[in-house]
Amino acid sequence: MTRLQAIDLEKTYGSGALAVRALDHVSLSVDAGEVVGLLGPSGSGKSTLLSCLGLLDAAQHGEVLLDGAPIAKDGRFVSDPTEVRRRRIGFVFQRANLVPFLDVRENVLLPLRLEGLPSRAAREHADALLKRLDLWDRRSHSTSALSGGQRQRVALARALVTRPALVLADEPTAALDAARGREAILALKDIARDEGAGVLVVTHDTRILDAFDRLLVMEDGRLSAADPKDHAAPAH
Amino acid sequence: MRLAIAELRAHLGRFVATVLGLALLFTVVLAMGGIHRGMVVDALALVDAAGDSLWLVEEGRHGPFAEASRVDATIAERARIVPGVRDAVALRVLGYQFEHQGRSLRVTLVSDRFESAPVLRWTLDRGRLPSRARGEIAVDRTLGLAVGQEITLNDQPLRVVGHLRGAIASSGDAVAAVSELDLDDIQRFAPAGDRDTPATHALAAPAAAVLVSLAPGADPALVRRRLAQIPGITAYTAAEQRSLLLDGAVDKARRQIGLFRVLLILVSTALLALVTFSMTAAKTREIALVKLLGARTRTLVSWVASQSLLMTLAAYGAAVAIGAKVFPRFPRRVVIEPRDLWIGLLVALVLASVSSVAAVRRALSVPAGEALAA
Repeated sequence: MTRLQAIDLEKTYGSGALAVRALDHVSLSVDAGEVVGLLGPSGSGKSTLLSCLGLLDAAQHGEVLLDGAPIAKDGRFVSDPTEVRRRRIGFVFQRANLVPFLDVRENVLLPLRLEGLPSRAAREHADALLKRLDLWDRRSHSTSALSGGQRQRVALARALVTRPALVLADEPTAALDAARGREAILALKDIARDEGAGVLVVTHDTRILDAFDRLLVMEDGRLSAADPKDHAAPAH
Repeated sequence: MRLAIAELRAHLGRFVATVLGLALLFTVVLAMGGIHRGMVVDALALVDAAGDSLWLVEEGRHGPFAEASRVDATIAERARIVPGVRDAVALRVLGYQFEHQGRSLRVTLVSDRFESAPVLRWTLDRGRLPSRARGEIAVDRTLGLAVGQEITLNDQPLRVVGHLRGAIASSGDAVAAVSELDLDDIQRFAPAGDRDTPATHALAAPAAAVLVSLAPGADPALVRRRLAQIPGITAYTAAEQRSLLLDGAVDKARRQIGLFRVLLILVSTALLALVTFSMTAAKTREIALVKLLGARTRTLVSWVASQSLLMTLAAYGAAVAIGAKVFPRFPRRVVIEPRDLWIGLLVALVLASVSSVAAVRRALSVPAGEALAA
């Protein structure tokens, strides 16, 4: 089942001689349970693509579909972008971006609380994620008492707690050492597979490329398939 | 609301400091209103004690509590023979300061006909009213004299026989009730500076006013017209006396206090707006995050506005509690009625709403994409 489908996205900043084409006929799809890596140098259009897929911005041309239904088309949002983000998309960031005045469990429950009072099933799912990510003993702790790896695992649980169709991750391992980074991406992969979520991970981290089911590379706004061997970290 | 409470708990020190500052401002706002209401109650206490009597005061003057008034004591005798008049009594008022057991006390002495039938309606807190023509006094309980205590005013020995309740003059001084003869003696020997209404003897000296009670069935308007023909006096109804008091000195005080209260409310609003705005500016990253996670506009508005609301409500509650402890110690009477508290609460809620506008605008303007940039 295809979770995300982007068809022929185009996005240009500026006009005339100063125009910068950030997305140049970009098309991609992510299936349920699939974890796709997106590589590319700075300024290649990765962030713009992530913004368009996460409904923070709209591509001037092209269409974005989630579970087969259009959510954005030709410069406008077809669905309420706030509601789509709240219910169907999970986000993971370079830094965990946790809310400092909420404890671990409340951070995980935050997306559910934005929807209203979480159901018992939703809370049980949150608790299950905390246990699966080895955070149960830390559930009442302040996030400031956690290590970098633990904080990022809390962010993963928060992204997955609403059982989203799509998880968008922006450099989720950049602030972690190699072992913690691998641990985090494998945890994300395991849970996404079990829950049937599609995952798109923007990364520069060549140490984790083997964890992805598929790799894409972006250059000058154009997207193409990549071979992990071409981007693997040099052996030391 | 959950976010608001969690954040306030995390920054408890800042929350408590802000609430305390606001509470003190609210306490002053409440005190100003209470002092004004106290002034009104004090100003009207003696007028109301005279019931529906007509007031005969010096011609062209507003009466003994609004300004100095001197009427010849014989006016009372002349008024008594006017058809429709049941009784007429000269009222003497004397501001008096004296030393007692090392304390300097100020009192407004008011005479009444205690040996026969008092004309003013005195309210007793404990003890009794003077019942003899000489040597007894009843004082407002706030004066601090005990029942049974002996005092001396201008060599006149007086025994405190009762405590009056709510007997405060428009000057804010406690009122003491004495017989006409005692007041006459005190007044005769009082130092010149202490004489609000100069007088000498009860039978011949000027009084502050003459109180006229009407015979049953008498037409007040007709009696008043007849009384007005007595040279040198102006006749007022009780309602007019009240109006003259409220429209005069009390009204000026009301306007002055009202302006002061408005200024304090503006200061409170500015303070709360500043605190709420700076709290919002300090959590831009968290606001961007919850927007990215799909927070509705109402969630953001609730987060910011409910913090302002919680601080305001906590401050108002603290102000009421502080006031309950502190106001009874104020030298002037502070009267706060339940209605004043509800109106104050309403004003505080409006203040909370107004002061959160800038912060809410700031929160709504934070782009969700900032969470990605972070």
